[in-house]
Formats: sequence, C-alpha cells, structure tokens
Amino acid sequence: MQGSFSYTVELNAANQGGLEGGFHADPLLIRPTVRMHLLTNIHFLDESPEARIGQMFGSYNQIGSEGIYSPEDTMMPTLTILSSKGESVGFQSDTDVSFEKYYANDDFPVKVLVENSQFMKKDSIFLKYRNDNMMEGEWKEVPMICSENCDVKAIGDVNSSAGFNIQKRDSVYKAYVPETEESMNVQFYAVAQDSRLASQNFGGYVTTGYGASEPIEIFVDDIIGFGNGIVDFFAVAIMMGIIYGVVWGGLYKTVGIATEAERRKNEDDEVKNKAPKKKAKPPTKPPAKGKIKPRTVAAIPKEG
Amino acid sequence: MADEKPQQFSSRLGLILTTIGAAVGTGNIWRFPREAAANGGGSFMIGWLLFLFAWSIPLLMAEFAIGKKTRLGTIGAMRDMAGRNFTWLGIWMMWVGTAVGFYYAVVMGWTIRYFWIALSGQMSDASDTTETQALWDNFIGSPFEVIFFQLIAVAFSAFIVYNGISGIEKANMVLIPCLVAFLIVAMIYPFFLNFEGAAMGLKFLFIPQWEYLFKGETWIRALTQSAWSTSAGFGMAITYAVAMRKKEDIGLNAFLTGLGNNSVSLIAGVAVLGTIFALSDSTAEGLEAVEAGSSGLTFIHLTALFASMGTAGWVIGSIFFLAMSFAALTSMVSTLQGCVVNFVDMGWERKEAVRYIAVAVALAGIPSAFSLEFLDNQDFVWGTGLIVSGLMVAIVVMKFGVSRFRKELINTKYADIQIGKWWEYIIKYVFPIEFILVFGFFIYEKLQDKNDSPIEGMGLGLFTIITMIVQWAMILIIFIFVLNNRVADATKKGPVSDGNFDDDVEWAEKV
Repeated sequence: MQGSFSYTVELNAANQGGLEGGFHADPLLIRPTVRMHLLTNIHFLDESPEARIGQMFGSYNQIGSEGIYSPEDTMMPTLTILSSKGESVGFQSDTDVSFEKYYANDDFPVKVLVENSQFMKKDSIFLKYRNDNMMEGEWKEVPMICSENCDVKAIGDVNSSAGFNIQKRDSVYKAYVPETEESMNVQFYAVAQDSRLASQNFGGYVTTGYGASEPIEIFVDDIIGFGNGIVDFFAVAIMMGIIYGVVWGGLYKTVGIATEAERRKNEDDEVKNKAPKKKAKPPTKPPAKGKIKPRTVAAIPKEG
Repeated sequence: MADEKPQQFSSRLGLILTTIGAAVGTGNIWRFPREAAANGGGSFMIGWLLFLFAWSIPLLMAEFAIGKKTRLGTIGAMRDMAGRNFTWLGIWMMWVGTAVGFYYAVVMGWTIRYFWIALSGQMSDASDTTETQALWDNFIGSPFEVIFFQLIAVAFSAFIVYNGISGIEKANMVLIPCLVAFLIVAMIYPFFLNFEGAAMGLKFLFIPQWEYLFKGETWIRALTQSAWSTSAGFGMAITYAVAMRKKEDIGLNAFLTGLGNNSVSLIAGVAVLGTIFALSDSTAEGLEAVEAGSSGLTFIHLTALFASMGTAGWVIGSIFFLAMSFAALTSMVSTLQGCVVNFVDMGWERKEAVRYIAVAVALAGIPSAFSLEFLDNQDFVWGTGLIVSGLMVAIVVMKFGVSRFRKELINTKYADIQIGKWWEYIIKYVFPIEFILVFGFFIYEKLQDKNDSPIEGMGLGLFTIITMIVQWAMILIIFIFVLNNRVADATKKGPVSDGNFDDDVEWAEKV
C-alpha cells in the first residue's frame, strides 16, 4: 500500500497514581500501547518503516511541538547485525564494514545486537535466510540464542530520552546459517517482536534494517578442494603419498644407506683394531726319533 | 691461550640429530603450517619440496665439507677457503647467527612461559581469543617477566654448550626424539577430537590450489621457508662439521639433515593445522588463526583453542609448548655453539667463552625483550642476513672451484654416496638465480607494502630496505676495515691453513 498516513493520539498525562497504581501513567510505557492500538487497526503499516516511527507526543500541551519520531525513543528493541569483530554492519551503501569470509562447507555464524532487549519478547528472535537454491521468496528461519548480556536482571544502562529514565539492556544473539555445500549467495536478516506490542505470536515485529527487513547478502566461497568428498580424499591421499614418499621415503632410504655404511666402517675398524697376537710358530715337522739328544747333567763332585 | 683437545661426535646418529636439532626450530612449527595454508597448500608444498633439493641440501653439503676440511669455525673456515682478505665473510656469518640468537632467546623464553601457563592450568582460564590476547599482552607488557624467561632460555642453552660437543650430542639425542614424539601426539590427537575438522587441516595442507602454482610469490615463499627451515648456508653445519669424525660422509649427511628437518615440518604441519581446524567453529575462524602471524597463531589462537578443550587442552597444550621449547632450545644451542667455536679458535678457553658469550647474548637480547617492535626489526634485518650468509657460502665454493670442491671435499674416500655433477650445476647456475629472485622479490615486496608508500619503503622506518642496509653496512665496515686482519691473525691455524687440500685427493682422482 502506498501513501502517507498521519494519526495523532492524545494521551492522558495526568497523575494516575504512579506506575503501580495507575494505568500507563508513564508516557514511555503508554507509547507502545498506543502504537499497538494503531497497529492492531492498521496492521499493514507494521510492514513499513514508517509504522515504527509513529509521531507521538509526551502530552496534550506538546501537540505541535517536537514529537517522538523514532524507535529509539519508543525504546523498541533495535536489531543490528554485527560482524565477527563486533562492528555494526549497515545496509547496502550505508556501511564500510566488510562481512567476514565464509565458506560453503560451514554453518556460518551471524550475530545480532539487540538494543533494548528488555522489551523483546522472549524467544521471539529468529534469523531468516535464503540462498540461490531456494524458491523465489522462500525464507527459512532458525531461532537465535542469546550469547552476550543474557541475564534479564542485568540492566546496565539507562535511557533518559524524553525526560524519563528507563533501565535498559543490550544483548547479543547468535545463530548459524546452515552450510550451503556449494559456493553461492546467501541472504539473511533477523526478526524479533516487541513484548509490549506482540499479541501471541503476531504483531510488534522489529527487524534488522530500517523498518522493513533489508537482508544482507553475502557470497560464500567454495572451500578448498574439489567439492566432492571422495575426490578430495583421493587428492589428499595422492599429494600425501608424493610428499611423504619423497621426504619420509627419502629419509628412510638415506638412513638405510647410512646404517649400512656405518656398519661397514665399524667392521673395518674392528678388523684393524684387532692387533694380531704373536704366536709361537709351530715346528714345521716333528723331530725324527733318535735324533733327540738325551739331556745330560754334568755330575757335580761333592766337596770332600 | 688454550690449546684444547679437538672434540668429536661419538656417533653419526649424534651428529645427525644435532644438525637436525639446529635446523628444526620454532619456524618448523609456527611458520611452515601458516605459510603452506596461506600459499596454496599443495602448490606451496611442491615448491617447498623442490627447493629442498635445489637450495638447502646442496648448501648443507658445501657447509659440511668446508667445516670438516678446515676444522675451524666460520671465521677460520672462510679464511682458509677464500683467503685472508675474506675472513670477514666468516665474521659476518658468526655475527648474523649470534644476532639472531639475541632475540631468539626471547622467543624461546615465550615458549617456556607458555609451557608453564599450559601446565599450571592458567591457560584454561581463558575462554576466547580476546582473553588469550589479553594474556599475551599482559605477558609482553611485563618486560621483567619476559627477561626472566629469556634468561632461563640462555641459561639452559649455555649449560648444554658448556658441556662441549658431548653435552650437545647427548642433549640432542634426548630432545629430538622427544620433540618428534610430542609432535606426533599433537598430530594424532585432533583426529580423535574432531575428525572432520582435522581432515580439513589436511586439505589445506595438501590439496593444491592450482592458481597459486602460477604465482611467483608462492615459489618465493616456498624457497625462503626451505632456506630458513633447514638453516642451509647459515654456518650451523660448518660449526658442527668441525667435530665430525674423520671418516664421516658429507653428501649423505646433508641429505639426512635436510630430509630429517622436512619430516619434522610435515609432522608439525599436520599437528598445527589439524588442531586449528578441529577446534575452530568454522573454516573462516580457522583461517583467521592461520593468518594471524606466527606469534598470533601460537600464543593467541592456538592457546584459545587449547583452553576451550578443557582437560584435553591442558594435556595437548602442555605437550605442544614443551615441543616448541625443545625445538627452540636445540636451535639456540647451535647459535651459541657457532659463536663459541670461533672464540675457541681465537684462543679462548671453551668454558670461559661460553660464560662470556652467554652473558653477552643475554644482555644484547634485553632490548628485544622490552620491545616487540625492536625484536621484529632485528628479525627482519638479521633473518634476511642469513640468506646473504648462504650466498657467501656459495661464493666461497665458486672461488675454490665448484668442480674441484665436489671432487675433493665432498666425494672423499669416506663418502657413502657419490654426489654427481648436478650439484655443480645447482651451485653455479641455479643458486645465483634463486638468490636474485628471492632478494629481488623481497625488495619488491617491501616497496609494494600497502602499509608503507614506496617512499616510506625506502625511508628509515622499522622495516624498510634502508634500515636493513644501514645496519648491514655499519657491521660490514667494521668487519672489513677494522676486524678482518686482526681476527684472521688471531684465529688458530687449521689442517688446511697452509693451502694444502690434498688429503683424500688421490683417492678422489681415482674415482
């Protein structure tokens, strides 16, 4: 639906007895409620950026003065996709942050910063994705899991816009886009619901992008190899065979030569080190019988 | 003047493990896998393998032959081989090796510190790279802690060198098998943790990305990795060949050293890339770790991965950093020994030389311990200087006569294998082309550095060509014009100082 739409709501700004006693006495709490009524009746606007930037005023007296125009002032949850280094990734020409390199064989992680996550409906955030293999207009979704600042009691900041102090929490959610198995383009965005606007599972949607879901498109690279497990296996096996064959085979061969050479040298050394002992030469032939002269002992005359 | 009895290796195994120990360093573990994965995997491996035979092993042969023939450290060896006026070549080789040792002791200190961090369980406290980055920044930002571990590194190395060749041999006989065993455990373990992820590491290491095969940069990086990894031409083999047994072979030992070194690289490559991809959530995360530089890969990304593994990470992390420490130690020992041998040749008593040199190395390393930028600068200047040392070895061989060198100094009567004429062609023709390509590409790369404009590339920044040349020039002027003659005269005479190289020649001529 095209065209502009203007709607002014006058709120009762009188003291209704405070947060406990009154009904939405605090304008910051009233605004989303008003929006809910707006969106319930004119719900198609929820699909347009303008729907979430309704023009609201603090009180009757302020009509005509500067109003509240942005989701930031209504403290609706704001979703921003983060790079893996934690930088906010804008949309289209609005960002210089290059997304990380992803590979077709990976479930690649997507992180989303949820500002004002204290107002996000529990378990309402999903990562929507599609790739070139899917039907036109088809989107799949995976639930996102809180990964940082998940404690609902941990309110670390205060929003004091429009003169009111509301404690706020910013969290990071993470999900994985399943592997694509082959190189192609993948689009994704995140969507969640404002707990104050959501009615059951409908309404109060917030997405990454400026109002409407503007998906990020990235290109996933082919992983190293041939894209086929069996071919890859043989490629690795052949290359390992060549490299290990030359290096380890060569080492095995040279160790063998060295061991043999060493053994030979040691044997040579042993042979040389064995100094021949001088042995008495055996007689060439035994003396003939009868030629042995009988030993004679000269008689020593006794001294008289 | 001391006149000590020459020391010898007790066995061939001791010599080979010692030279492999000198060649195998941290570069095998943190540089090789990174370079291979970032430069086309299998395409890089083809070049790396080719240059083992076209650069590293021929140079190792030349070094072994020079050391064995002259029986002197690099200074005496260059004097006797090239003539008295070229003694400065040997001084340069000794200086470059020692200057590398200044900052290498700091790097070894890091590995010891991280071994302790892993063993004590501190690593397990870090849950992601932000925390391991903080752990690293805290450590590097505490210079006195870095110096403490640097001093431990120098003390360990000096203790081994203090006990002479037998001490070095015994240490390497223990350290190298332990290093290989640790790396094998680290290689196998990731496959049990996440087979698919570890297999991805194998793909990155071995499957050729064909487009890289046609890039000059792939080949240049393969060549520099082969040269640095094997320490070919750095004077290390000359130093250890001094203590070779007379009957020791040259050619086969060079093959054993080169192939042994590359075998360790292959184990380390599978271990590191297998671990990274097995433990990373995605391929992109794994690649981010691979591209994070040597220290980033090891001390930030691998540490984070080990930390995420719980008890298994405690075990494998401790083993990994112990292996790193051993690899660094064996290289650091060769660096010290290379310097000590030269001082002993000049008449110093060996143990006294070890003491003084260890103190000097420790003191000279302190600036690198204080400033990572200074360390990187020294690595840039003197790491590149090592390639020039390789050129000097080749020049000395050419001056001697390449053919005569092969016949008389390599193919001696004690040779276990005969080296053919291919060696001569490589030294005479292939080597000069390789050197010009590597150096030319290196300068081109510096000038093209996207962080620096070409003008800054020639300026006086930390990593500019001019910075490197100024430091080289200052040192060379001192060596050539001040020290050359004095050191030549102070160095003792060796067996070939009279110019008679005829020993073994008669036999060689018959062959």
